[in-house]
Amino acid sequence: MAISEVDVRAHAKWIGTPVKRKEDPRLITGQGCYVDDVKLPGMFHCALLRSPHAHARIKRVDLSKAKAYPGVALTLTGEELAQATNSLPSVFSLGNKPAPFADYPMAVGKVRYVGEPVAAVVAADRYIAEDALDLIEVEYDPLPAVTDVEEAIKPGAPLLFEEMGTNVTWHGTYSYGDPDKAFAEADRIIKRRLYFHRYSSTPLETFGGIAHFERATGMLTIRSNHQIPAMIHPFMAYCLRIPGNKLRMVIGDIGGGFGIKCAVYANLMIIGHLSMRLGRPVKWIEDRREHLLASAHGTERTGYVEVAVKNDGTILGVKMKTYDNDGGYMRFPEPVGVILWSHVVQSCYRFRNILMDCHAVVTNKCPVTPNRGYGRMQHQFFLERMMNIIGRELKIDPVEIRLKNFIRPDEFPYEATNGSLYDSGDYPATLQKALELIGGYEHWREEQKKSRAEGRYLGIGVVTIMDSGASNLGEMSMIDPDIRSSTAGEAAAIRIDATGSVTVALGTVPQGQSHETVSAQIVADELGLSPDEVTVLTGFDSATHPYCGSSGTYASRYAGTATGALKGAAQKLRDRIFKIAAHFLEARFEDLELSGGRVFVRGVPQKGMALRDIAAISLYNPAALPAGVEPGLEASCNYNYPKANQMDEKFRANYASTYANVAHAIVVELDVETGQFKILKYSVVHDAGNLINPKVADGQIHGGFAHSLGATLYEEFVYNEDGQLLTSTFMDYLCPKATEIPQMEIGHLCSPSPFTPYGTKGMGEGSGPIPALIGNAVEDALTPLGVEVLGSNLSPQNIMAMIWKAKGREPAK
Amino acid sequence: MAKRYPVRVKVNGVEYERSVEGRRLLSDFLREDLELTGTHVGCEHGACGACTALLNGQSILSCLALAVQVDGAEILTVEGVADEAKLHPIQEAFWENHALQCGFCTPGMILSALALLKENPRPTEEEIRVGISGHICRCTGYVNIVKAIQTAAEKMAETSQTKGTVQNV
Repeated sequence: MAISEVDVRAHAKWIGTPVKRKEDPRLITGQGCYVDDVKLPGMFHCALLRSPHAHARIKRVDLSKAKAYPGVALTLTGEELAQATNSLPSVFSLGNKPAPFADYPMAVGKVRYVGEPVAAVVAADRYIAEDALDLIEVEYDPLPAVTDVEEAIKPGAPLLFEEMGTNVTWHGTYSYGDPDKAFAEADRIIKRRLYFHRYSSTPLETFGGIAHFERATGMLTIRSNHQIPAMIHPFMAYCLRIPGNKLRMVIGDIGGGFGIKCAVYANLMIIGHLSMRLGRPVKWIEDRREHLLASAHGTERTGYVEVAVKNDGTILGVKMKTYDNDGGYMRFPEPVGVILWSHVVQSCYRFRNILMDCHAVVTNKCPVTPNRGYGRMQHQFFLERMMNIIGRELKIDPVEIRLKNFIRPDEFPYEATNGSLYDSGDYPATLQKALELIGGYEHWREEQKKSRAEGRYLGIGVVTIMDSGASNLGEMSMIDPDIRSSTAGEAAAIRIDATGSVTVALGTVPQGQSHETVSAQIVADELGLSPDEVTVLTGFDSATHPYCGSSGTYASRYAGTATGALKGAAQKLRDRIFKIAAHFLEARFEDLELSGGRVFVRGVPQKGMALRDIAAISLYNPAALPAGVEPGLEASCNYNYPKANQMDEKFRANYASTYANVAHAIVVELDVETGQFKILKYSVVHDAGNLINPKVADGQIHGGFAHSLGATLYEEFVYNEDGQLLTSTFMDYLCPKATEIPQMEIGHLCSPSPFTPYGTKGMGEGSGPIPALIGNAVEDALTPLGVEVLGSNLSPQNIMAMIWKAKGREPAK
Repeated sequence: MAKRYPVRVKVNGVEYERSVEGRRLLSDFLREDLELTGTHVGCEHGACGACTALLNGQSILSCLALAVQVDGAEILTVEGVADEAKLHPIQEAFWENHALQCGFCTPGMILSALALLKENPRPTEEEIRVGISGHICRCTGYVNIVKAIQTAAEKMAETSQTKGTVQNV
C-alpha cells in the first residue's frame, strides 16, 4: 500500500497530506535562529575547565592567574557554585526524600568522569575565556577508576559516592503474572548474557545556552536548545533559588536533539548563576569534543535474560536481570531509563509472566540521558536476539516463532501484563509486508541455500517491535511510589486576531520534527483554512506559551498529545465562532460550516460572515455578542491523553499512550575474511495509525534507521581501563555518511489508535532494534560457523572476533 | 593586546573590511564579525561539513581556515545562494523533497551541492553520495538530500538548456 492510499480521515483536507514544510524557507536560506546565532548587548562568553581524570579528589584549584587575565569578568569553581545554589533535584528526591548523594553541575571535592566541569571562566569572548582556562591550576589526587558495570558492583570496587557504600544507586524488582509458575511449566529455559553498547545520536548542534539576568526586574531569561524546558523549569528555579515567575525559558530553532538534549539543564544552571552574579548575558556553547566527552551518552546495559519456552515455541515467561551503566551521576530522568521498557514490556508478544530485576549503577564514565529509543532499544535488542536464539535451539524459523507468539489482531485494545494499554495493530500483517518488500522470505531462503553451496555467507534478519509514544511519566512511580504522575499531555493556544489570521503556540520544542507544519495542517482542518494561513510560533517561551507537566519534545509524544491540545483549542474557537455567527446570521448553530476563512450556512454559501468580521466583533464590540459568549477569539487547551492513569499498588499503569508497531527485514552478505557486510535488501514497515504528514513520517524513519545503523556498525564510546574516552572526536566516533546508507524500502500499514483524536500514533523511535536486526542477519549468515551474536556493536573487528572465536582461533595481533 | 591584521573580503557580493587576530577562525569571523550566522559550526575539526562555504568557487571548511587567509578573496555563504527573493534550484529541491529536518547541516550541504553540480552537472546517485560524504546529517539518513540534489541537477540542466547558459553558481 502506497502512503497516499492510506485512509487518513475521510473529511480531512490537510491531515494526511505531504504538505511542504513551513520551517524550510528560513532554514535553507540561513535565517534559522539557533541558540548560538543569538547575540545580546553586553554579552559575555563562558568556557568550562574539564577534568582530565576519570576519578580523582580535587586538592586545590587556583584561579588567581585566570582572574588576572585581561578580558576575564568572572571565574567560578564547583565549590562556589554549590554554596550559592541548591543541588540538582533527581528522581530520588522528587518524592520528598533525601537524595542518596548531592549532585551539582560542577565537581565538588571530587571528579567522577573525564570531562566533568571543574571551573568556569567568563570573559569578553570565547577565545579569551579559553586562554584563561589554561591559566587555572588544579591539583588532583587520582583515585582508581571503575568503568565496567559488573566490576563496579563487586565488593571492594572503587566507590563513586563513598557515602552510599555501593555503586548500585537503585535496584527494583517487579513481578507481573506468575513468572515462577511459567518457569516451572517450561519445557526449556534458555539463558544468555547480552550486552548493549554505549553510543549517542550526537546532534549536529551541540549543547548551548545564553542566560540573561536583569537586575532591575530580577528576571532570569535562559535561551537554550533544551528538549524539556517546561518540565525542568521548576527544577532550575529551585536550584537557582528564584521564584518560578522570575525564570523564563526560551527556545528557538534546535539543531537536533534525539533525547540527548534533555541533559542540557545542568550546564544552564552554571550560566544562570554566572549571569545572576554579573547582571549581564552569558553565553556558553559546547564544542564537539566537550559534547562527545561530557554532555551525555545513551545507556549501556548488560542483561541476563532467561526465557521459559515450550518445545512448540510458545514463550511462557521472561526474567530479565539488568545492569545499566549510568556513568558518573544519576541526572533526571535517570534512573527512569532502567525501567522505561515498561512501555513495551511484552513487546509484540503474548507472554504475560515477567520478572524485571533492574539495577542502576554509577561508574566513571559520562552520565547518561535519553537517546532515541530510550530505555526500550536495549530491551528490544535483548528480546529480539532471544527470539532468534530460541528459534535456533528449538529448530523453529525466526519468522514462524514470532508469528506464533504475536498478540493477535482481534485482541486489541490489549492490556499488557503491567497495565499498558496497547491501542491497535496487526503485527502479523506488518511482518508479512516487510518480508514482501525485501522480495519475499522464501526467495531469500532459496538464495541463501544457493549461496552457501558457493561458499558465500548470506544472512536474513527480521525484528518486530512496538514504537511506544508519549510516556505518562508514571515510570517515576516505579522508582518511588510516592511520586505520583499521570501526565501524558501537551498544551496549545490558538488566537484569531482582528485581521482574521491565526497564530498558534504550543508547549513543544521541535528539533526537526516539523511541528510548525503538522500543527498548521491540524488547525487548518479544524478552522477551515489552509496551512499557509496558519502561523505556528517557532520554539517555546515559558512566559508566553501554554504548557503542561510533561510538555516538551521527547518520547515521540506529539502525535498522541499535541494533536489533542490543538483539537481542543480549535474546537473551543469553533464553538465560539459558530455561536457568534448563528446570532448574527440568524441561523441555527448546527447548520453552520467553517471554510475558506468564512462561516456560512451549509448549502447557502452567500449567507455567511468572514472570520475577520467575527474577530472584529468579538474584540471591539463585545456588547453585541450573544449572552454567555466570551469576548476575543483566543482559546487554549491543556490536554491529557484520556487513557493515562496513575500507577497502582501492583506497579501497573498505562506507561505510554500510543503503541505503534514496526517490522524490519534485512538481507546481508558477509565477508568472513574482513568482517564487513553488504546490505542487499532492507525494508521497514511502520504502523503508526493515521499519518499527519507522510513525508515527515518517512523522514523520521530514514533518520532513525541511519542512527541505529551507525550505532550498530561504527559508533561507540570506547573507554580504556582508566576511564579515558578513546572516541572523543568525529574522527574516531564515526557517524555514518551518505555513502554508508543503503536503499530502504518503506511501507506503511494503518491501524488508527482508537484513543487519539485523529487516530495518530507517536513514531520516530522505531529503529531501536536495528542492532538486533543486523545481529540476527549476521548470525544467520554465519550459521555454518556456529557464531552467536551477544553484543549490539557489530563493527568489522567485533564480527571478526566472533568468527575467530567460533573457529577456535585467537584474534590476529 | 594581540596583534590584529586587516582582512578585506567580498562575501555574497558585499565588500567587508575588518581587523582580526591572527588566530580568528573564518567560521567565527563569518558568524560573529560579519553576523552571517547561516554558516553553522558542528565540530570545529573539519569532520562534519556544517561550516562549508565557497571560497573563490571552491568548497572549504570555514572552521579549518583562518580569517586572515581569506584576505582579498570572494566567499559565498548560504545567505548568498538565493537570488534576492528567488530560491536557488538546490534550495527549492531541498524544500520540495523534505531534505532537511533540524536544518543545522543544511547550509553546508547546500553549498557542497552547489560546488558538486558546478563541477559535475549530471552526477549519478553514487557521485552525489560521494560528493556530500564530507558532511554529517543526523536527521535525514541522507535519503532525501540525495533525492533533492538529483532533482536540482535535472532542473538546472533543463534551465541551462532552455536558456543556453550555465546556471550561475
